[in-house]
Amino acid sequence: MRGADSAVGLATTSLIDASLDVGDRRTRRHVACFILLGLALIVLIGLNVAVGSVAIPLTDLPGLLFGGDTGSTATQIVWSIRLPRLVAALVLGGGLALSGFLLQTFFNNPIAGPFVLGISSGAKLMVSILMVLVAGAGHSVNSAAMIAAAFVGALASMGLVMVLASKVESMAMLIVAGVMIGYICSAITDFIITFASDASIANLHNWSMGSFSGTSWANVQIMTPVMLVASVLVFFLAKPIGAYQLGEHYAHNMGVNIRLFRVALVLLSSLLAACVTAFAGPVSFVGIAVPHLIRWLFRTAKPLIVIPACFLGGAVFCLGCDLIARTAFAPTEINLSSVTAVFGAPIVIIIMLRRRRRA
Amino acid sequence: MTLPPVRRIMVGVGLVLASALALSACSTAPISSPSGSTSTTATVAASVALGASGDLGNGWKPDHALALQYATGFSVDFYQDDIALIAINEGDATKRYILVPESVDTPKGIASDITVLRQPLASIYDASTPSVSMFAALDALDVISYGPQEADAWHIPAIKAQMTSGKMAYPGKYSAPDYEMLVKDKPDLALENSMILQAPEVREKLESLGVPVLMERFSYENHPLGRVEWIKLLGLLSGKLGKAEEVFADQIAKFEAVSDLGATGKTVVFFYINSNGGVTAWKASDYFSQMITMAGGDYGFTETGDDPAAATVKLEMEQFYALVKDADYIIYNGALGQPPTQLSQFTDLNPLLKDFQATQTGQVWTTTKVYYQDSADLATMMTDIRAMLTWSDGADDQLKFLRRLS
Repeated sequence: MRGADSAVGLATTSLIDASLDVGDRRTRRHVACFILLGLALIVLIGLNVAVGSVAIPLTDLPGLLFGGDTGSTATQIVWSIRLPRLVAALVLGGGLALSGFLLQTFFNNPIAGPFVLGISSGAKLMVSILMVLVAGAGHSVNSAAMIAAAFVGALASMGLVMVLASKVESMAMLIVAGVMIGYICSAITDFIITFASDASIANLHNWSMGSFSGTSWANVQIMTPVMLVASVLVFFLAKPIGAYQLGEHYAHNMGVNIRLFRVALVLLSSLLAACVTAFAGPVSFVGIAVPHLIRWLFRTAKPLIVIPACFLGGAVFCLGCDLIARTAFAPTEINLSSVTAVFGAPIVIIIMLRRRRRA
Repeated sequence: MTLPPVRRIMVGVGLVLASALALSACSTAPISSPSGSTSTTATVAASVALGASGDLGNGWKPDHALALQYATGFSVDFYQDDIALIAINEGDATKRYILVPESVDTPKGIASDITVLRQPLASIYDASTPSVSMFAALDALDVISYGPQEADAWHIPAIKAQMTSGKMAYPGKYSAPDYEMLVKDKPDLALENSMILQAPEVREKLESLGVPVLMERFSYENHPLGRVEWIKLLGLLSGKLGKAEEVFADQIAKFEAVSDLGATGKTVVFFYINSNGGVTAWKASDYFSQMITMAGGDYGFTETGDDPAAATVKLEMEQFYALVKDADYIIYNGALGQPPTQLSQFTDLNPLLKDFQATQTGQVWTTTKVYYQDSADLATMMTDIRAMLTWSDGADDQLKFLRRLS
């Protein structure tokens, strides 16, 4: 008897040891992945500061960044052109990836992205009204008006989805509703474009392909607090998101107010996507590809891990893509969405295939 | 009364749709006369806004103003020491610049809205294609450090040579220029066209980097010579006002010489067929259509379209067929896309084109690529149109701006 007890005890101990071992390995992997992302971020920040169409010697950079020299051309290039653009890519890229993660979790749909709920279509509609009917008719508009128009359009789409979210029980119906709102906005935009001049069409196309070009410190001062506050709020939702991943009933039994949670999730993801669209135009594939990449890299879907990792991953992805967009064919700048799609789409395909093979 | 939730949503969507339709309807005020007497919104604003441009803000009174015969989009007032105040109509507002000669101090106490430009403007970033051709006509290409297109895209030899020699660089698209390149050898002025209205962040960024931006509005001039008269402003900026006045006087003389030849009674249409088979026709109010009329032709399209500010109108195929079938001359806009070089390529664009009278009589012409680049020599363009209208077998049909398809 005693021998059998000790055998069970040994087995239990070895199971616990094994699970602790697995836990340790996971933790080590997570730490390693965070370090990897952190290093990638640092390297890309360095490259974005150092590389551009004007060559600035690396030895000059510390002096330009911390030396207090304000008058030189190199200082102006670094401080007025490269740095605000870099911060925009970092903050908006992070927020966009986070927005994609929230919607993929919420809809339990691997191809749900930040723009599935018609956010970009709503923004594009308002921008087209401003661009074609106001600026196209020879009236002056400033960039603040363009940003405000995109933001209002995105929020209007979001508002309609929110109304539907509180009425519709099925997630699939909510996606359909979001897609339909997108179609309606696109149809009105196309209607406006029908009467637009070629110049207006070209400008609207440029806007709809996304770009961090022309970002100013004034833009950064607005976008950064919005994105950071929304991202922190998403992080605070990590526990209910974790419960929700195990099923709506489980989350309900764990005390999650499903209706409120759903509204918070849609609101935050839409706010993040709306802010990106307002300042950079619709940037494709970051919101879809980065959450997949992060889950594959970290081998986990735990929100406590994935949320900060997605933010870091989105920042790294956008910094890399923007560096390519502005330097590959300089002085001509490639549309940002072209670069993000080229790198984002294969990532999604490869990860999907690997997952399918493993299953 | 409260509506059921679903109905509230439907009403909301309906309101959004209705607002968009109403907004687009607001922009479709018809033009009563599509001819040279057309007055667009922009032009009305110009004359109103430019009326108060002479007040420098420091009590100075202008000595005289630059004499303008056709242009309505800008004005120039001269003060003591040859200081010039330039006012540009930008639609709802007037943007003002003071041009100060090299040897003169900038006047004190001038209004805060006035941008100071100090001569010589030795380096200009010119993002407007037609204005580069005007600098070429002034022999002032050396002031253009950055141009709007790459060397291969130019069809004006002097400009192409300037670019291939490296004296003029291409800093990327106007909507996303390479700011680093522009800041490295900072231009004294950025000259933009009205497309910048739809990319306002570019203008703001350039200004924040210390590059003043001046927007030309050639395309808002109703009269073809109004476009050409902007050469006086570019002459002033490049220190060649005298030369600009000579070039402009020469253009007027050539215009008048062709106009005096009288009407031919021949109908002419000017259009382009896009890759989807859609037809874009140029309105009678467009400068090229007006030159057809001035050269003695009878312009065939009277449609005004929905947007009075637009130069073109999209035509539905039945309407196009009815309007063009009996036209004596067809001018196809060859500046866009890959233009036809033979009559058979032209009729391949749409089989209906074979039925047209102009096709059957061999009077189908295309504009050359230089048509949209060269705005300084509209008089030759008009001379070419007259040559087309009076063309007979054996005459030259390979002109500077027009080519006959055979």
